[in-house]
Amino acid sequence: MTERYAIADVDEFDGDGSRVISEVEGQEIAVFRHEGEYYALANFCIHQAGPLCEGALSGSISTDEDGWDWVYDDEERYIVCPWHGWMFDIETGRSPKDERYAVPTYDAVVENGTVYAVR
Amino acid sequence: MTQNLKQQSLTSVDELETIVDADAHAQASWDDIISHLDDGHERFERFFERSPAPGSEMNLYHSPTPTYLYEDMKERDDGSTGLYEDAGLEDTAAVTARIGVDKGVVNPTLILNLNFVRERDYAVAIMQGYNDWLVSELDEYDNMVGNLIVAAQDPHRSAEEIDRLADEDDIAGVQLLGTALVPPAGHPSYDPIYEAAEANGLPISMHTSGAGMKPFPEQSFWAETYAEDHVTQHPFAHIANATSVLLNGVPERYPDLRFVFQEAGIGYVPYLIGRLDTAYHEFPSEVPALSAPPSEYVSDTFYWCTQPLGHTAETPRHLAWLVELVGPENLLFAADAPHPDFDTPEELFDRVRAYFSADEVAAMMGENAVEVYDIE
Amino acid sequence: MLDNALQVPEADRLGSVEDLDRIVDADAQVQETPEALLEHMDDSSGARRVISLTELRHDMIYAGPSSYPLYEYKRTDGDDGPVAEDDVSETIGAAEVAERATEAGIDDGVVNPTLNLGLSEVNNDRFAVALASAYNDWLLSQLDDCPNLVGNAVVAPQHPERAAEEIDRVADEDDIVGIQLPASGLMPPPGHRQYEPLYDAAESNDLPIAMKSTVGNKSFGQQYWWAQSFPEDFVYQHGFVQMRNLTSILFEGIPEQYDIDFVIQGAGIGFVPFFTHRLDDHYLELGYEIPALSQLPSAYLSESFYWTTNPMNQPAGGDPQFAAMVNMIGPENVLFGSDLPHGVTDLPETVVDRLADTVTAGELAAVMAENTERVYGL
Repeated sequence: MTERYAIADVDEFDGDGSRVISEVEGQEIAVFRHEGEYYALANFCIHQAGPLCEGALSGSISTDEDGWDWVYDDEERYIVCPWHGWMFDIETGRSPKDERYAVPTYDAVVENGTVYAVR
Repeated sequence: MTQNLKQQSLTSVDELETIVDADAHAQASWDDIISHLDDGHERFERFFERSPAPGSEMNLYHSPTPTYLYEDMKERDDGSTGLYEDAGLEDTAAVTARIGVDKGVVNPTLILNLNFVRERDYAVAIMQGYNDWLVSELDEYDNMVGNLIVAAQDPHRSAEEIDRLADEDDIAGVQLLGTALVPPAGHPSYDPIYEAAEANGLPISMHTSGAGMKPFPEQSFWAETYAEDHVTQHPFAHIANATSVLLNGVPERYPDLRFVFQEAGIGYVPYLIGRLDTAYHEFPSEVPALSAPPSEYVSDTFYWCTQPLGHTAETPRHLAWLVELVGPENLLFAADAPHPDFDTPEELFDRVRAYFSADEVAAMMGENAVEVYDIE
Repeated sequence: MLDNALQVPEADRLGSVEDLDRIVDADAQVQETPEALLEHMDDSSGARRVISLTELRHDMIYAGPSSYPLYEYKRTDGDDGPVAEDDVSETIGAAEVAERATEAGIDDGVVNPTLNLGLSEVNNDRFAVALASAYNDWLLSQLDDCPNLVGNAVVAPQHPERAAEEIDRVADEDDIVGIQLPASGLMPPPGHRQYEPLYDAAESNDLPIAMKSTVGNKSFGQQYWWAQSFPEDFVYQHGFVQMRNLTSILFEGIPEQYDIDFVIQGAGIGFVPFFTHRLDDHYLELGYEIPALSQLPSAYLSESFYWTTNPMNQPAGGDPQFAAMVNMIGPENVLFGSDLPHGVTDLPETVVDRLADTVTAGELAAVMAENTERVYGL
């Protein structure tokens, strides 16, 4: 059965990079606005149960083709847990460091000016 | 693996009466320290007023890359929230309460690098100012006690400092910082510290710091990142100091003195003890200071803080195995609040509760620390 | 708990060491002397001339004071009886190693150097390069008469390009099955990009890299200056070297860039689970500093890192530590190593006794022979 949770009105978001965290039926869900789109995930870190979505958004550092130089991709699509620094992609919920680690995500749907988290 | 079904296991941390963080922290600012200085430290105060960067001028600490610890985890103004603001005792108490810890034993943060200070008089000034700040801060909290710090640069004045503050209700032990401690902790120059601690019934805690350990030049010159440095810093300092303390016979000279090792986890302990006993048996004439294998002194008087437990991708029971090899009676749960590589109580509890008796789990989660630090 | 947890069903166990088909030693040692090495250097070599001026005192060539087993005389069997009588100034050639291995019940072995485990600490880079080549030529001449022994060629990390040339030079020799990159005193540490030529050559010649630690190195100044006795140095020196080197290799992404097997020798295996947990923890918490890796450090460790058993702790005393460590690491990554002729307590039966109840017969055969045969392509 599909569940749908109203998280926030669109005008509660302060542009890209902003977020709203709501408690719905006992669970906290965060919605991020990123490049005009909305992404919803649980405000819960699978590492030590920290409030993942209260952390900072970050881009990511990778290595160049030679495997030596560091390259920074400044697209801030990773949420960094404020407790221990674990990172997750806000779209897929997966850790960029190891795909086995993932937090629950929801489809974010906008209807009549309201953002819903659906799963 | 087989579990002993007859033993009574705990199922939830809520069943524990006392959870103690044997390695909590509180950061004193330089202002905090200076405002608590007694007379006689005018040279230090003058240096502090005049130097454009007194902290870094005096303190040889250096990390290859910034430590995320104090940068990323602070409160900021982009909608995110950090773990703390200034990492003072108020933040520590808040994190402690939030993660379900009842009591804490407080250690320094900035002053973890006291061994990096070159001038002996400055180190002594910092010791006195920090300790008086700590005592006044601890007054505000019923559930916090602390370790007074000593300046290894001056063991005699350190011993006087122990005598001066040992009777304070909130002083539970002595912090002899482990990183960059040269000579290492078994050297007889530290005997005045051990003598004073033993006479006052205070355990010695040894805390390490995360990077920039100059006595290991290979590491301080060549580690390319904080992560690369940090992986080995903490355990190396403890391994070197514990080896030095044992093989040079400190427990023979001070049999009632207890040692607590903080911030390096526990998994290195069986390896260390195995090698120490091997050395004792293979090179007996090189270890005249001991009358029994090192493992016996360790089980009598050494305690190991569990944080950071480390991460296992697939086999959390391995952490329980390591706990068994160290021995639950010598483990102290530590959270490291409020620092962001802290462990929640569940991090240890969930991995041990099924494999150890309720009594053993209660001991490592808090009762051992209550006993070692004589916490009320 | 551990005693129960580690047990395998009796039907799956190996009976005793006699029931093993083969025993292959991943870490035997020949003992070379400066004298023997000089014979393998050209008369026109300036390094040869200067080394000869040391009157062949190894402490003037290598770093000393205890980079190699001068300490053997200090070891006892726990009862004040000496366990080794070999003098470091005498050659222990391959034939003698083979004889002692046979006495110990070992069928085949991969040999490493003794003095040249201190090669990374030779100050003069020309000496280091010359000593490596001379050792390899000496080793090859030794191995010719020993069908049961093969060896690791040693390389001088001081000059990675010349190390690569040396690898290319000896790689086709049947008796050379791997490279020994002496682990102690290696500066910069082995993740540094200056070693790329060395790794390129090892990979293209499909040779594993063994890294063995020794005592007395100067890179951990605190221990070098302040250890009060040999045991104080011995207790942690080996583990420090290996943990530092491996952190560097992993966090700088060597196993991501190269398909090379690493064989880690000299520190035992007891630090490995702790160290693995710690590496994974750092990778997940400080991942932005470790972009060179695409998976957990533990994944690389289980794919391409192997650990030799020596030295074993003494006395065993029913301690389940060794069995627990083998189980945690995974028996497929553990290689029996005897340390013969220097390790006199790491005999096959010691390892078999401590594992007999806790790994299956198949796993034990892997530890005692098959893993080494696979890694070295024997």
